[in-house]
Amino acid sequence: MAPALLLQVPPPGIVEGGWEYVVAAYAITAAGFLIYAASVFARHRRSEEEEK
Amino acid sequence: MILPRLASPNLAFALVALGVLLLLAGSYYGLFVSPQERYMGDVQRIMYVHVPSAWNALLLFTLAMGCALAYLWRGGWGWDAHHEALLEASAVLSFLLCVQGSIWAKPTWGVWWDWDPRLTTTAVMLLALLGILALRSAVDDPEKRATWSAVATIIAFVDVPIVYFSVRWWNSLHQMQSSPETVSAPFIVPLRLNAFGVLALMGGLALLRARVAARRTAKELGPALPPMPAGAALEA
Repeated sequence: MAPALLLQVPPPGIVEGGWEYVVAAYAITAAGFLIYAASVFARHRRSEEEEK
Repeated sequence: MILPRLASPNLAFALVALGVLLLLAGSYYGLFVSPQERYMGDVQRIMYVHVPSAWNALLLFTLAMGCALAYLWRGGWGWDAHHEALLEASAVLSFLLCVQGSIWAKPTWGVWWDWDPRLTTTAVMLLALLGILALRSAVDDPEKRATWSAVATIIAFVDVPIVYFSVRWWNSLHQMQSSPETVSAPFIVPLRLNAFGVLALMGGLALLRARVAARRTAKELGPALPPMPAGAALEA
């Protein structure tokens, strides 16, 4: 392998890039929290209205 | 039935707001301030949402088990309401935990899922939580629902220490637990901010959810019986 090409190959065992996975993990987590919070708020409000 | 003593909704809303602030700060730090990890690069940033989800899923399941034990031992609808709320919050976190782990596994292990001991026992925990919640929604009698689901929670809780120690007991693709001694300071700050953020957010939501569960039980049990007139017991 030519020396210039060797420099471009990352060492084995090192992950390069991957921001799309990071964005996906944070987006799904945020969506999960938002949906669950909205569900709890809605059920809480409905139960308060039913009590009145 | 008189509603059991529950935390004020203002405390719950304050906890939710605190949780959102901590999560925003922790996620900003984790995404933009914290340095790249040497081997996993940017992908390691998933740790700042994955590990707090794991810690809090196990913690909330443990608290749910405590409420189940307290209900069986001492009775009280407040314990049952908190039991239900904590089970649901733990199930949400366990689901997110599995999804985040799967997303992290693809670039690091090359697969979305592996029947590794840690992943398998976590999936079992999620299924157990969903099963107990399904049991609760299937039983109409409040006393049977509370008792049966409390027993089911105590049995299912056996999986929690297995999840935690699975990476030590068996050969696992999943890494071992880290400690502050083995993690650099710039990685600890966002991890702790998000861990307390998830705890405050889900704690606040669980307090609100407990109020919903308590009101439903109160409605099912009907109004409290009027006080018995003097002598009525002897006549009956």
